[in-house]
Amino acid sequence: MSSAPDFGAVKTSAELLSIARAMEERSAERYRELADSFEVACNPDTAEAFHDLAAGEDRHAADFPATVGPRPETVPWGEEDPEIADPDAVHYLMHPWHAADLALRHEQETLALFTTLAEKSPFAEVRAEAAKLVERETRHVAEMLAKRDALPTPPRDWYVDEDGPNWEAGD
Amino acid sequence: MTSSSIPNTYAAKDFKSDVKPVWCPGCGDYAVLSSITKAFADLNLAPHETSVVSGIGCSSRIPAYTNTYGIHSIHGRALAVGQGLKLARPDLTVLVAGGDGDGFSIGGNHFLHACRRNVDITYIVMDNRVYGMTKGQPSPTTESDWDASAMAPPGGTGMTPFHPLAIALAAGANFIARGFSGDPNGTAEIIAEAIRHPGFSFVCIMSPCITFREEQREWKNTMRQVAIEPTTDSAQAARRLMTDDGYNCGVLYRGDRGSYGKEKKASFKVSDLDGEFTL
Repeated sequence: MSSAPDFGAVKTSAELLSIARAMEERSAERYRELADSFEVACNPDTAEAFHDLAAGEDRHAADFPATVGPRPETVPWGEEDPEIADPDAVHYLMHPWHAADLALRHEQETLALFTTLAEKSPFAEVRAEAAKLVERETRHVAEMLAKRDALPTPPRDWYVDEDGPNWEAGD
Repeated sequence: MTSSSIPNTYAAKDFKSDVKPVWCPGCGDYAVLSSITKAFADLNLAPHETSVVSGIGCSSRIPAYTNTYGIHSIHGRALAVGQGLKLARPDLTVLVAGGDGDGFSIGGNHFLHACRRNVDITYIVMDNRVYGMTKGQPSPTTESDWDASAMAPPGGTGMTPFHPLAIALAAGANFIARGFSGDPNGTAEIIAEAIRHPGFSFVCIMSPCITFREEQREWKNTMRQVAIEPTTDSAQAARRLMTDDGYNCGVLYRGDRGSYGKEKKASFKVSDLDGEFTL
């Protein structure tokens, strides 16, 4: 149900930078919420993976120059912006590999967004700043791909719970 | 920012408590919690002027996760508690929240009469069409043939699902809307509008239970923003709701009934009370 981004809504490079940093910050918050939910669900490995992803997003946010303006209350992409993982895109049995794979998809979507903005923004300074963000997000994608591929691949039946919530007598 | 462009004193995070939710990873209720706190912030409310009241169930744990006044009350009785609170403290913004089982089965009668009474509160039901906390029994909104849970009768209950929005309209609710947890911004806007609207506002939020109803992950592809203007005509609203497939989101009805409640007197004299008992 998300609406298409309005590429003309961002008019200056300063505005774009504050939005881009806010996306990293909000992504870190979401990963922390997911980490909390996995701690509660007794899946400590995946909780740790989400904490690690949150720390990574914190570092990405800290990479922005200190001169970047305050975090905007709203961004054109709202809570459905591509950097932020959907809260329902997880499963209680998922592995750290899945967490990294989820983060990789969101980094790729963010890269695609900035690539489009670099091409389609009606404002030259926004196009130029977006092009720099494309370089930045390209690095993030490469880092996340390496991180995911370094993790053990989950077994094919990772989602099977032999003591699951729908357990039935005789199963 | 509010419509008056006065900077908000509180952000959404100020309405969240430090308690970690015990909902399953992926539960739609996380997003509903975010929508509620965002709506409070967007309305420029203050935590000490706001109260969240609930019954029993997964979603009814929400007062623990909000940094407002709150009452985690008893099963099905959240509306009774919430209405009482609003009548005693009309200055508070009262939001009552719970699930489909709590609200439409155990609390079904309270729901009907809260709609009739039209106290100025907002009622949010996180509808996942199942009793999640007790591990997967069919609820009033469950499809009649659903039997995927070990807790459901073979072939399903055979009972016609409850239609909360149509029933709310028939019973007199003054504002009726449907939201979806997968659209947290849109849902926050609906909640804010429901709180602003006088009288009893009912918002049914489709919130998937990905543990007992994993197929509800598909709601992301089936829920849609309604392409019609909200109506103030209850007959037109009834026609819309009775032809509704359950996947239309947005504000469907805005009534104009005056809300129930007495004006709180600035001062009170014992002699006034004496007069009421004069024989």
